[in-house]
Amino acid sequence: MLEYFQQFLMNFWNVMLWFAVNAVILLIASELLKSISTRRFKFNKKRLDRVAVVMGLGFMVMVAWYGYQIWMSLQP
Amino acid sequence: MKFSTPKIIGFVLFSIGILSIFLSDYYQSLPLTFIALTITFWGFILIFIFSGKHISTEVIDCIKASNILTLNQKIADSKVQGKAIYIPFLKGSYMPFHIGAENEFIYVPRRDETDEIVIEQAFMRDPPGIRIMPPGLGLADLMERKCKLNFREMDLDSLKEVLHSIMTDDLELAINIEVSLEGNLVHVKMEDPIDAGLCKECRDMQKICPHVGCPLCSAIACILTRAANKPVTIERCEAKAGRIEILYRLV
Repeated sequence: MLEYFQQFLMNFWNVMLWFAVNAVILLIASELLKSISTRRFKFNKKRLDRVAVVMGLGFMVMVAWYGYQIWMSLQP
Repeated sequence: MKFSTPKIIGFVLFSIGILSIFLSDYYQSLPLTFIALTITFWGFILIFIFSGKHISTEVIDCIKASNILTLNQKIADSKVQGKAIYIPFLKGSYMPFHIGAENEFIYVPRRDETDEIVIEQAFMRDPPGIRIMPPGLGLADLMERKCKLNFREMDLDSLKEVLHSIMTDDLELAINIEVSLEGNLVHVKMEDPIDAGLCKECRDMQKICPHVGCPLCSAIACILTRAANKPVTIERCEAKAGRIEILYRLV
């Protein structure tokens, strides 16, 4: 997976940053749009919410992976 | 096949994004990779959140109006003059098979009688009045499915909150809904209900409004019947400036 991104010059940090920025934008957008009625502006709020959560979780998994890597490197 | 404008924008962004990913690989540019990935991703989001079929309320009102007219005509032809009452169906309890109902039903007596007599008549083999299925039964079932709760196991106080969340957030049937309990009376106020047009049409149907009710009023009556496990009548239905006020009575 990482090698795939690295072929586009993106390292782990770049991907993590990309996930973080998009997750923040999507989570804020989905929370703000929850109060808006979709009767006139027809879109699926639940799907937006789902994508935002998936992006947020993706970022969390990457952080956990990075933490695991540090912990492994500290092992004697 | 007709696509909505945001969906077309989504397809365009997705296509540009994919092309940019190849370009970024070709030019070995990190900023371009970032931009390409972001464009592709947002294109996908636009396609994903704007997909699904949307039918205008005007079309739904027209489809439903003929069903309500049929019901109105059936009641008129039956020459029943009494006030309609929603009769609960207790799941698991014995119900005479000749009733043919598997959910709550409406009983319209021949003439106005006391509540006890009307309820007794509702379960007769050959009642003097007529038994009909509520026009909002399907909507009530949908609400129950959406919130994954059994209204029959709920009390009226908790139902108030659940009803607000389903009607305003999940199904967006109204902009706002207020439910207040006063003894055996339930006062429901809805702001900008989705079937305002149909409700307006129903007001001209003498046999439907207010006692049988439009699909939305009827759905709430079905839900109240389930939660209270008591027969329910629609006493009053008033509409003014995009607001509908309905008064239900628990018998």
